[in-house]
Amino acid sequence: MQVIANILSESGIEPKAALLLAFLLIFVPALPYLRRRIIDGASPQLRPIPGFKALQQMTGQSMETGRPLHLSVGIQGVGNQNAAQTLAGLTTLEYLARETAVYGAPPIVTVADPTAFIVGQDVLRRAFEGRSKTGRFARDAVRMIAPDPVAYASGVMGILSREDVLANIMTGAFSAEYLLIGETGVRMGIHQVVGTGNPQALPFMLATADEVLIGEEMFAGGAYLAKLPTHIASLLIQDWMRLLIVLIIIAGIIWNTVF
Amino acid sequence: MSRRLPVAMAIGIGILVLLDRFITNLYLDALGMFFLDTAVILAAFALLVGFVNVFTVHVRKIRARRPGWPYSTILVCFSFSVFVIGWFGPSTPLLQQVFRSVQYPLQATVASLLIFFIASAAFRTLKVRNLESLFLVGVVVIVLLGEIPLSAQVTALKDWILSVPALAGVRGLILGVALGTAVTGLRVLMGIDRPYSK
Repeated sequence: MQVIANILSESGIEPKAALLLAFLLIFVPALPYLRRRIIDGASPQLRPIPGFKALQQMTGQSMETGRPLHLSVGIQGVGNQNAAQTLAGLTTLEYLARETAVYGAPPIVTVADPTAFIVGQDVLRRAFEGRSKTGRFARDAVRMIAPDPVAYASGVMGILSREDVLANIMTGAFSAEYLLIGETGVRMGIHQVVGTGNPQALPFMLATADEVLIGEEMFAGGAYLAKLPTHIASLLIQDWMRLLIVLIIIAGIIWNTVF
Repeated sequence: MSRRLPVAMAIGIGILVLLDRFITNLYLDALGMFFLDTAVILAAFALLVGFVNVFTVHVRKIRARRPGWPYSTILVCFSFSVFVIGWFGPSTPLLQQVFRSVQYPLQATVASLLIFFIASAAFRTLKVRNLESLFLVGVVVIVLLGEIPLSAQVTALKDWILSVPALAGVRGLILGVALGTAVTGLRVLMGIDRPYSK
């Protein structure tokens, strides 16, 4: 990796940026390789995550009872540093939409960011098209509430209070305003499955939700729900990256201690 | 062609902007800035589309007299009024007054509910049901007592709890999220994952 970093440094890239780029470049060929291995039949063992199991159960209940699920993809959009968390929420949306496209009520999707609104509407439409149920797609199934987090929380509190939702599913970037929504869900007796990568919001989620996807578990939706080979390969890559970082940290500690 | 063009554009522009982040080059900087400015303009138009959606959803609710339709009426009237007032620019005195007198107090009011909800959530969570919850309650008590000048030892223990195990947990969480973010970005840049197209 140091050899790659040196080559990149000589190309005019800053040293720290060069190391980071080298770290990422190592895993670039691994992703398509692992994806191909999984498509060809390899099935890596994934530890059970209760949140996704609950999500599947809620989806089945929604199809049986006809009551919609509420889904939020976070208060951020797809154009900033939290875009990955929003994409994780959109992966969950795609799964829910595909499952409920034929039977049951389509999910009520709320967004705070306009870019998430555009992409969310497209994801929902494509999910219905994929099931040949374009006629069931309603444009106002995705609702833009407000860009301001507190105003967004107020809007979602109203939806949970007035509309007969079966469960509240929130995966994406959230902050303290989540507690307003979470407590409303508890008060209404609504089952809640939530997840975020923001450490500030996680304590509130653990105090109010029935199942919590902590941090990177949120990014595993595509692997657990839809069994997508790309997403399963991504989980393996993440594990390898983490292992490499831990080894580097341990080596650094030993180096600093001994020398 | 209709499927490949969005993918090619996303991959090409994404790699360009990513390289701009790592490489210092005059032409790359200008190109990266151009695409970022374009994204900002697109986001502004997306906000307009979102605003139309807000109107549409609530007008349908009013017409169908669904539960909560009076609130939708108030929302539509106020949204339209602020839209008209704001048409003359963001620094007009009337718009500033609307924000000072209505928006900010309302935001503060709703945000102030957080303190009560925190107390309610804490009351519900901090119940000793098993060994894990006993440990949680114990740590919470130590951290709370450490905030007051009760005992230097308790304060030192509180500082250690916050700066060692708690910080380690948060750093592990942030590391995991960063790795998830990096791999998600890799998937989109390589065109394997296409949330914008199929």
